[in-house]
Amino acid sequence: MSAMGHAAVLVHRSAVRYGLALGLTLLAAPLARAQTGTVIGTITDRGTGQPIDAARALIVGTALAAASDTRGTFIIRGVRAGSYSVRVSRIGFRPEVAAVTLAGNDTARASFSLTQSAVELDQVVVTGTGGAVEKRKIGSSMGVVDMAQVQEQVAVTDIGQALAAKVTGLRSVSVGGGAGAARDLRIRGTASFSLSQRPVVYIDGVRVDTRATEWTNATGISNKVACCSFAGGTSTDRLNDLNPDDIERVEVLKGAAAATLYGSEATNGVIQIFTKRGKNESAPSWSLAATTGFDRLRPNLPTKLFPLFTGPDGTQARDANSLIENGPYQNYDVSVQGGGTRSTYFSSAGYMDQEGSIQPNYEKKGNFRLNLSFLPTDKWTVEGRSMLTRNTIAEEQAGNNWTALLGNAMNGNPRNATAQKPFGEAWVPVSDIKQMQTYSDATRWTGGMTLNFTPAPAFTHRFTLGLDDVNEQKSRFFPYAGQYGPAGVTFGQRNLGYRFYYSWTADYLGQYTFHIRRNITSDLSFGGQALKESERLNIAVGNTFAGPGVSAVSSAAVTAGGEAYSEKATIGYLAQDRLSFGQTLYATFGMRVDGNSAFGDNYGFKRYPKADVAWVLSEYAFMPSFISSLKVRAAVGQAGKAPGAFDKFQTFTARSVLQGTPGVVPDNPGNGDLRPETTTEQEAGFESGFFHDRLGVEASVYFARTKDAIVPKLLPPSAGFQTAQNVNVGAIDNHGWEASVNYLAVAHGAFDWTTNLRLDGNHNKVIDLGGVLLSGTAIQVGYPVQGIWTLPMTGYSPTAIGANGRAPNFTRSSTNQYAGPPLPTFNASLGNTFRYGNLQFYALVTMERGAVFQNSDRPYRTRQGGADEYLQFLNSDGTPSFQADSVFNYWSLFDAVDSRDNVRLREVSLSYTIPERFLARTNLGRTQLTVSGQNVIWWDHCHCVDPNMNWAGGDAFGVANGFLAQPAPRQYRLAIRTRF
Amino acid sequence: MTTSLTRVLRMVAPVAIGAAAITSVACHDFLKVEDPGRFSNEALDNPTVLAAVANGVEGQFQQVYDDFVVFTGLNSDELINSSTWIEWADVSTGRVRGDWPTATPGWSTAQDELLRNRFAAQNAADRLIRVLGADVAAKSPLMAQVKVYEAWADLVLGMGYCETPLAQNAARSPDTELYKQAVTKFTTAIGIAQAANTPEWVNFARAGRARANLLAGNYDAALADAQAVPTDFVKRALYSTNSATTFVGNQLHYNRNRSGGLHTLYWSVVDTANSGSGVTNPVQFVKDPWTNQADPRMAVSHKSGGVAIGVDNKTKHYAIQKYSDYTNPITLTSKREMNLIEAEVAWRKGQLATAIDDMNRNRTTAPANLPAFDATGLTPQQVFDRLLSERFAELFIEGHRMTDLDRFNLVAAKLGTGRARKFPLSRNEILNNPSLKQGVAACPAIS
Repeated sequence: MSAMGHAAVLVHRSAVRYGLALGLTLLAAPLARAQTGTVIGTITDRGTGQPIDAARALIVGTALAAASDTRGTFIIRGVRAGSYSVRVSRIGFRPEVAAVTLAGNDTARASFSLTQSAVELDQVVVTGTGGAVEKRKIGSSMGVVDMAQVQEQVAVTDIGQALAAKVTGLRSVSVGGGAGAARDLRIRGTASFSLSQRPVVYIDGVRVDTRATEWTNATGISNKVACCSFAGGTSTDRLNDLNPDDIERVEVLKGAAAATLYGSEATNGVIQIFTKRGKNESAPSWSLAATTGFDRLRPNLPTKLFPLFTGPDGTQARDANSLIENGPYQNYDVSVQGGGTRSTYFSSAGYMDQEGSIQPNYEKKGNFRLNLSFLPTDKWTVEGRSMLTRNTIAEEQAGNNWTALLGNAMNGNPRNATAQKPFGEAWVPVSDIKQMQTYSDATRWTGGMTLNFTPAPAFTHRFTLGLDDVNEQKSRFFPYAGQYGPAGVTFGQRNLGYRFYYSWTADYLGQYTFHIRRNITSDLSFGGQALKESERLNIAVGNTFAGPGVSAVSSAAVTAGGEAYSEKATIGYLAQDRLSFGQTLYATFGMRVDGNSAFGDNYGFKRYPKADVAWVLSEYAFMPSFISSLKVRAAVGQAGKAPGAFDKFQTFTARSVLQGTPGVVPDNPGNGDLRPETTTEQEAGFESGFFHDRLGVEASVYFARTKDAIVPKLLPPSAGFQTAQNVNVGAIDNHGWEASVNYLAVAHGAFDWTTNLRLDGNHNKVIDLGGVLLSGTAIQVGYPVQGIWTLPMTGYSPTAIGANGRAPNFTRSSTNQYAGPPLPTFNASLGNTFRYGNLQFYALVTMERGAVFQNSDRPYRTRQGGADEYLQFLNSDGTPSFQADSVFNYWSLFDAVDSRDNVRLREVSLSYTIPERFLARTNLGRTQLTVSGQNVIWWDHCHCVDPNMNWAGGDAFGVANGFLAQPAPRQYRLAIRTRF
Repeated sequence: MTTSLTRVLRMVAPVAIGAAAITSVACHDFLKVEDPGRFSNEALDNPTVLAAVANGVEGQFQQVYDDFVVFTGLNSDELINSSTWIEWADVSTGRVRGDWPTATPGWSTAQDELLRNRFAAQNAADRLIRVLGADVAAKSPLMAQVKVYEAWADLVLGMGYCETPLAQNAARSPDTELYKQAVTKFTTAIGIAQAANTPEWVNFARAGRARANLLAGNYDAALADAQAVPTDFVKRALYSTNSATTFVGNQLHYNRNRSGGLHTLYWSVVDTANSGSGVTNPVQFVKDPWTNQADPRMAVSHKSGGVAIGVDNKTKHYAIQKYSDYTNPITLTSKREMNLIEAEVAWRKGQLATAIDDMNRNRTTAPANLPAFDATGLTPQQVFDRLLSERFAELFIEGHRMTDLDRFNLVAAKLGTGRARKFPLSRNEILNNPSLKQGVAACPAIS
């Protein structure tokens, strides 16, 4: 893009942003309306008799809706005279419908008594369905997470934590510790050889940034100029910018069959986040949440023997566990919601301050949100949403990085301990690393406007325009005086990076419902979507300061810079028809057609078809009475994954050669035929409820085949081009199953017991590489993508004695052997909630099985002469015994492969709801105190600190290596939530 | 009727607006994107950027040369591994094999880059002809520049690797064929450089042809070229401090990551006179074995206490002071190397006194400034010993030692049995070159 073009975009972005704000202001102006009536309702829990908050009441066939307040009351004004159905729904309860009739200026009243339900066939969902529809009508599986319920159980820090172990098939795992660090977030395995595995994320219909990997080297800067990345392999996660307290619910589309209507970005599934909205006819209702607590690493770092050794200057070596501190945590969130007859508002402000267990490391985040809605007429609804985030993270130096803090402390040799390097650090003194300053400082605006037009109850239109605008600054400073030589820094260095990201979303969806004949209804959906995504990365490096006292890039003796830019555009059209045969059988057919800027010039538009069927058998009289709900379903659909932004171009790269002289060399051979990876998924399953929906059982099996998978076909080096040519010749299979059991075991007045079991399995296999021979073992036909291979470890024993009583010399086979998949093939989670009166106890235990990883820390530590595994065999005078030599010899030849299997007490909490009688004089509403812990304890059999660690960060493609990562901490929280 | 029509229009209007909005953006080249960070092939067919194309060829060669120096140094025991990388340890301890299991070890990456460099030179030459025309290109300094580096790529490929394809997608050929091809290419380059009146390229090509002829066994031709190179000629691989150009000291210096240092074999002959207390980073020299004097051509640094160990936390580290910072580039070739070529040719012809005289031209001048050898009574073996010693000192960590030990058949004697004489053919080339059968490299032999 030219400079002028870029400037124009900036102006355009600003204009639209302020235009949206102006529009929202104007919409707040009062408009005249016709004489109308009012519907007032109350909603209670049939089991407990307690009012139900945040239930949604809708006048069927209109845009008129309201949410219940803490007293369970809702008011819908402006309803024209007539007879209506009022539908009330809330996640976790069976929806109820009541008929009301009212005349002009009349008020109709209705009472709803909702029954708790373990099955939610009548829950309304909107993501990927071609408009709002009950789950009973869709033939694919979808996960829905009620955020209010999650927050009542455990005080979550970010959205990734909230999703962990809440939806079958969705993996959300902390792979590296430290405040603000990223998660591995993926759905149903791996469907690509090289493209990102993160699902695309929408917030209220607007596509948003989900980057969770470092980008220093993407700027073209050499790691010889600025070693490694800002903070190592781990990185900040832009999903963490969102305030969990702003979220109402999350819908998760798990695969291609469900996500077809999202087209060329949806192979990995879609996550849509819905933020809270205001409530009609409601006085301002304030909510306050205050949380405190701390993070603390488990003290299992393998350096406990270090203090037994002294270095050459008599310094006693320190145990890396001594670096562990309590990282204080505090979070405050205040929000207000309410509204009048035709307008609602929700506004919130949040502040979070989380410090890491290894210092320096913190995340300080401020969020502001304003969501407005307005009904200028009965047929129009205008919604505007605006979120501003400021997120500052002092990043932990970790990952594959010379200045990894724990890496240096754990990989030292205690026999080399000195006053300056008390951990016997091999590379950089921990004290010098602590003097480094590494920050990520992001300012982000996400928002948009949605217009809903309902010219007739059967004919609706929705148009959404939104923007996600991320401005992120990263910085790293090496002080002048530190010993940072291994990192290529002798007299200080300053790195400064800027990342500018934006994505535009324009989305139109129309729906027309009509009767084809008696009992057969057609819901026709049609629309289109335009997406534009751009990312600009800049970096400046200043090396070698004249002395202490300066830290600007410009004050360094040698400066360098780098820049990278990418942009991607998608335009898609969709059409879908859902045929309803009475209340029992639903069949859906749809198609998405996509063009994408990343497709090769010889390739046109891509078509993605879908079809699904849902059959609600429980509507038939012949079903036994104990089966209260039963839906069987099947779906088949396609979705795609667009290639990298500029992969199609044949390019020659410019790089500075000689001393500052420009040079150009062949870079990317390009591919004019490049097209999207296409996944076809077949899915079948059922959702069932037993004993009046107290027991819910849901299960799915799926088979997904990705064709045209992009294989990086390296040209022979003698043919010149540096980069591998991306060609669509691969194929990958993912097959798996998911099951969940939700049981309302006990519901007797004061005592509730709910138990929830979620199970899933995934098996991944490379089917075809199109004859391309890839170097390395990560991608092999017949094995999982990024499968773990290693040279065989035979005959190893640390106590084996070789010839002459000395350590044996190990030999190494030249043939790698397959060790296992990089991701678990089996996941389980068991959650139990017990409520007695005002007390609630909740615990969630998870299990992962089947995955292995390169536990590179293990041999590395030994090669460095440290690690308890090696030190334990030293003689009393510190000299190596034959066992120590044996360990050393062995790990000098081999990499370690270990199991990622683990069982983890992931969440546990105790909540107390303060009785109303104690609050009567305080004007406070429902008030709850919660003590919770996360990641509390785990059991594994790997020789590692935490089997979930992965050095490459959150959405990195490779998940195979735990090298130098920092484990996720235990988190303890005390939270109070109240309303007034 | 009007009311019905209005109703229909109201209902359809949003659809039309939505479709129009999406279609309109589509019509405005919505899907067209450009990569501002890279050139297209067509964009380079422009006289303005041809100099950058030629410089790219030169820079690419110079950038890969540091890896070549480090890995050949490890494989020939100039350097010892003090890193924690298995790959470095394997080279340093002689575990290099043709069936190397790792996909892209460092030495293999270096061969890949040299092969790509050769292609880049050929691609640049084609472009020069396309843009300038064949007649103009044949006299262009830019053509001389790319042609001389194409020849140098072949020469270095032959020095470092048992096998290499002679051309794009060609079958494997032994190192001897690479030397022959390099000689031919240097001859072409010299012709173009002379036509372009660029003596710097003529000399650089002559020095390269001298070495290629020597390695190919064309001793008279090697002598002629070596003698034709002017005194004080030197060509270095310059570093760029603000880009991807690498710096060999990055791995070898105490101020950097200390992954390799002077090999154990030479620790006992490091002059420690300058290692007294209070000297933080003493500059020391490996001693000249013939006079026991410090030889300034082999500067190292080892602190007697403190943290004078490698990044592996256990191996003593003798930093290679020759490459202390970006102002110390690697010498690619020089008149001083030519002097040694002349000496070697003389020795091979039995002209021992001449050989000693040729060596003394280096020994008695800066930076060596050592006493001259006395040729009196020396046997051919004794002259050879001095020649080998001088090549070690003069070309210290410049990428020659491994080739020397191989061509003088001294690998087993100097390094021990089972050591690789050169590096195997790149696995990337084997897997992707249609002329090569899938499998392992045939050399070095699998033990």
